[in-house]
Amino acid sequence: MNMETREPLVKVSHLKKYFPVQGKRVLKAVDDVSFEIYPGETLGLVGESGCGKTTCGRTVLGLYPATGGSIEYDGKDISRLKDKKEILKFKKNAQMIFQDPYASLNPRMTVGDIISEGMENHHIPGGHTRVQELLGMVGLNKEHANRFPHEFSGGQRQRIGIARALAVEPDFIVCDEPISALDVSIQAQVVNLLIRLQEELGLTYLFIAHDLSMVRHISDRVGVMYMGQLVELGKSQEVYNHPIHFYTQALLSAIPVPDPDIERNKTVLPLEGEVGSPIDSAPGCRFKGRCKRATEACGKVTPSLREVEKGHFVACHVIDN
Amino acid sequence: MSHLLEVNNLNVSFHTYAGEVQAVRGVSLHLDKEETLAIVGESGCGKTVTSKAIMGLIPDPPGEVKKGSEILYKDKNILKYSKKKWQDYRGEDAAMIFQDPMTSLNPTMKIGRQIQEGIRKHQKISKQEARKKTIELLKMVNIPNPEERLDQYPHEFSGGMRQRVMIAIALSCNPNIMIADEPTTALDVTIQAQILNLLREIQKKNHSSIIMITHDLGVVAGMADRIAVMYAGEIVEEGSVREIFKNPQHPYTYAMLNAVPNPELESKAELHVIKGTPPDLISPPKGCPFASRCKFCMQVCHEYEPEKTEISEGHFSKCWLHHQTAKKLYKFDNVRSVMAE
Repeated sequence: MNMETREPLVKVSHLKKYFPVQGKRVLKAVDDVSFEIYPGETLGLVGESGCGKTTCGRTVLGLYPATGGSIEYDGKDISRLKDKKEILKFKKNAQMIFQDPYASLNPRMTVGDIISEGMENHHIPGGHTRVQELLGMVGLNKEHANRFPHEFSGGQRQRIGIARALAVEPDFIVCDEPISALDVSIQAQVVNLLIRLQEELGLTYLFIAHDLSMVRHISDRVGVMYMGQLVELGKSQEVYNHPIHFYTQALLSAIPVPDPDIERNKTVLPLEGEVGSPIDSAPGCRFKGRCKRATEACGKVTPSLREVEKGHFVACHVIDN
Repeated sequence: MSHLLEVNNLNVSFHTYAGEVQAVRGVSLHLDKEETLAIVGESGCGKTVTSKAIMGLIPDPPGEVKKGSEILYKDKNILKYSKKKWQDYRGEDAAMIFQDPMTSLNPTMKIGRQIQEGIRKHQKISKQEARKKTIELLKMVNIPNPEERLDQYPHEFSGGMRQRVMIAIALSCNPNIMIADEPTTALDVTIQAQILNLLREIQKKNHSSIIMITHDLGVVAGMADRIAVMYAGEIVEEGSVREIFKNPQHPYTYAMLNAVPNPELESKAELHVIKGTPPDLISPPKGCPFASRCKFCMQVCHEYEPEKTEISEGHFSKCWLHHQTAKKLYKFDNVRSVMAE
């Protein structure tokens, strides 16, 4: 596929999301993030917890109002949509699958009601037949429509969450850690389902996760986030096989490999300390405190993403020199 | 030579409204000095219950350790211990690192007091000495400024640091056995690597043994000497790390190894999954518990339970395929292609 000639479905430019915290301070959860997602592709977003990947996903969907920057969906800036019809259309087209299948389904509604709620709001015809069709699509039985969420296992609940997102015929789905609450063997089932649905329905995914090996498997391109900023972005094979940013290198080296020969002989790049506080963070590269190769310049100016190789972007001063 | 810890025919049940859940069904395993044993399996397979039984932490009622079960620690059956003896055993001989550092610490108690609790109970030392020892422990688990950190509450610590505090609590009385129940599941990979390193260092220093409970095969590959694979309350395969990863014999073990995304696998190719769900342990199936999900299932599997077969020294598997009369088509490479169908 030729990515350059196509128009992106989602274009995020210089997105900022700040939260006010106690004492007039600001928590910069997402700080100047830009990326594009093309129709039919999966963009993976990885990073340690607290790096702002979930906030980023939610802001893209308009669940949080952005502090700065713009989000264009299909060529239109969603924060400037005035027409109610347009807003409703965007909300129908962009859906979300949540992290915790235990908390994200209303325990007092039947599965059928959960799935059809969105359809009613968006006046999508089909009713009960459509619900049954959706249940079949995600690998559940028709009879399940009359049951309640507590009667299902974690993997089945996540399937219900997926059916709910699909019910309004979206083009774009933000998957916020859809598998991290599930067992390993069930994770594979859900990932297979997501890949199959993408092929069948031509969906576009923003896939947020901290399980790096699953992200590698499902994504066409991967963005690595650190403390609210994108530090590396590129094709997933490129990023995983030739990581350039020191943070990405350290992060990837820490993935345990299920093979005793490799696992025992590999070197984990040391990454001392923990993610710093994003509250009132100092200027300069956010990673400088943990980076062995940090120079003076890193403390002054925040590095921005630069194309190092074709389609492979890195934000680092040391690489630049 | 006898083992440091030996579990023989452990049966644990929980009495619920729906009936008796047989969570652990005839588990036998052993642990030697300075050894790391990993217990792997899906959630609900009984790995946590097994470890809690070793710690004497099965709540009774509703739990019940069945008659005929034996847990030998230094050749003494600890299941027959009195309450007092159990208290001495917990902490000094065996200690547990719990899964979730967010909920396992008491949010209303300062970190220092939580660590000292065990020390003060087991050793007759003064408050000042206990405080000194706590600072040492915090230093050992790499927490910066232990003197100040001591007087802070759990909410002032990050996830990784809380897990370090949990480890410090477990270490406080120099136990011979450390049971780590999914110690890194709630953590990021970078922090996970730090915690695993820490566990390895401590094991070397204290010459202790570790029972590691996890479902992350990557972690197992790096940490364990031996692996026990559990399914539906039973150990279905047991052997050295190399044997389990390179020469798995039980269909469940290779199905599990196959479900992990392989970097060599083409992106977006279908992952191998184990279809179906584990059996309900209120009425466990008559034959092999894995039979209904197994691609190599034979008629006998539904009727009779397979016996433990020794594949090579120390490598056991419980499957009818190892029987003399079963078809011999199962080498791991072969299996990969069958699984892919």
